[in-house]
Amino acid sequence: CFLSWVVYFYCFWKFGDPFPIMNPKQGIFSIEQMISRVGVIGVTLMAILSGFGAVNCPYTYMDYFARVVTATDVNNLEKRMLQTLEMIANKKKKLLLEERKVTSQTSEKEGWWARLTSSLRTNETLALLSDEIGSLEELSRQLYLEIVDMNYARERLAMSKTLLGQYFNFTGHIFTGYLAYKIFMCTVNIVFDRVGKKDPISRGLEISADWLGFKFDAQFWAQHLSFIIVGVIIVCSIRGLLINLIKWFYAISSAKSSNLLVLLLAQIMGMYFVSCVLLMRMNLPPDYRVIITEVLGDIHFNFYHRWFDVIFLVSAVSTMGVLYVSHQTSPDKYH
Amino acid sequence: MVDTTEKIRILVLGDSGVGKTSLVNLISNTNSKPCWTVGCNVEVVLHESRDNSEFIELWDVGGSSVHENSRAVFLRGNYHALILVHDLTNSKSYTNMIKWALEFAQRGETPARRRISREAESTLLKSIEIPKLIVGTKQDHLWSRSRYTTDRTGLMTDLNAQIISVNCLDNIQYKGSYQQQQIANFFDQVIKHKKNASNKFNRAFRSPTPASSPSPSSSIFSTLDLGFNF
Repeated sequence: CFLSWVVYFYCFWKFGDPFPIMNPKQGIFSIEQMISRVGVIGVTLMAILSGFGAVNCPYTYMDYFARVVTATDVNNLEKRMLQTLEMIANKKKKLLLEERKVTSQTSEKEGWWARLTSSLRTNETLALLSDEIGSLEELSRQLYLEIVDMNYARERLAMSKTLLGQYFNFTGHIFTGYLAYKIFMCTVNIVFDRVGKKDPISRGLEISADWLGFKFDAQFWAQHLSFIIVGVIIVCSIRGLLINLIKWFYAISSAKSSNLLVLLLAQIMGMYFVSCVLLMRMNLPPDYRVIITEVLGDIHFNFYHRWFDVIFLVSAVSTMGVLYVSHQTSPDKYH
Repeated sequence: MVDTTEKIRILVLGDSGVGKTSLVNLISNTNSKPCWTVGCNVEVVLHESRDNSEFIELWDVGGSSVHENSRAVFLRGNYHALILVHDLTNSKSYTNMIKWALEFAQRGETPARRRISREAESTLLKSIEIPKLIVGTKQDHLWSRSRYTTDRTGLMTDLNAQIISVNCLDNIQYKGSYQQQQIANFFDQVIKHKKNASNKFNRAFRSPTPASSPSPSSSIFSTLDLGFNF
């Protein structure tokens, strides 16, 4: 197991090579190297997840995309599935009768040729019946999964009529706006190769102070607001990550691999957190930026922001493409 | 001779992963496919009793919580017996059997999250008239001698079921074993109960009893009426 840890560490190291983060001033085992490599993987993960989440969130929240499913649809499918199960039961009964015939026939003393042909015939019918049963069982499973999907769609429809559903619908619209803004900013950043100097909270407060003519101490409010917002963002994103990881864990874990999987997920969580802190540096006022820079060492922050923007753009666009294709090709009725 | 017109259906319920499908494969002597049940697996057993042979259908419904909203379609059917399965190495699955029995008693109509009082639960459990069997699986995984987890709620006695424990993966040891005999006895009991119920039904049909007297036929009507005949 020491060997596997060495292999893992080596892969981890090699992974950081193509990125421009080597600094000849520092030694091999300095903390900057570690942080930089951890940061790369964490930032990639974060960008992929946020790109996916930013597109998926409005898609699941807004009613515009919801499937229209009625109770009669579900009833029809249920009847079909039950009929299929009945057919399976009948065929299995026939199979058992045939098998009993085979075992009773072998005890009779007929001519060997007659016995051979009759046993061949029953073997053929047995094989045929088994095939039919197999395909019917597969059909029943497909129908059942379809029923599960339809029930989920019905629940979603029912929820959309409640107050909570309408609230979600409203926030879905807001998120679409935020997504458009973010994509625009990412493209601008990449094209013009710039990194924002001032954090968005301070800038927002400045703009509002100019327009609305409020006379308050922008600095004071800036630091509090930005802390609160950064805290909220970090908490929400870590929570989202943990929920996704748990879903993943249930999906792919088995009795043997669960320990390994837990350790791997713990590593991923750690990397994610570090990169969160890294990226949040941009959102804080300049005084606090210095603190984080001191803690994390002298690494190229700009690179991370660029990398995040690129991956975010790629992930968001690909998610949109996939969702669009699946939306168009599904034969269901929508609003 | 084999009676192919009558249907005897037994529902197999239990938590996800306790071994319902393995149990059903063991009883019906088929090869087990080691994957989680999606929907419902139907297996048929040819049960030889003293008088004749009967086909018994075992409907094994998948227990994973993801499919909870769609399971009701199976619970609504017309069943003649109930088998509850739990894992001998997992005490939570033992207490969850009460939930499964309640879900069956309510025919999956009311959502499981709604809380009902303990007396209501007790009456519901007692109202299940069909024969019930409790099977504990994974007997080979028990480290010490089997010691049944104590029933803290006291509701297991309301269920009034037989209890056996078995190792579902050992096909060879099962044939001719005591557990196989117990299951055969249970099937006999199911067939007898079904005959009694249908006799009472026929008698009630032919000679309608006056409405004033509290006849047992009304309760028979209620239990037979609950499922739709598909």
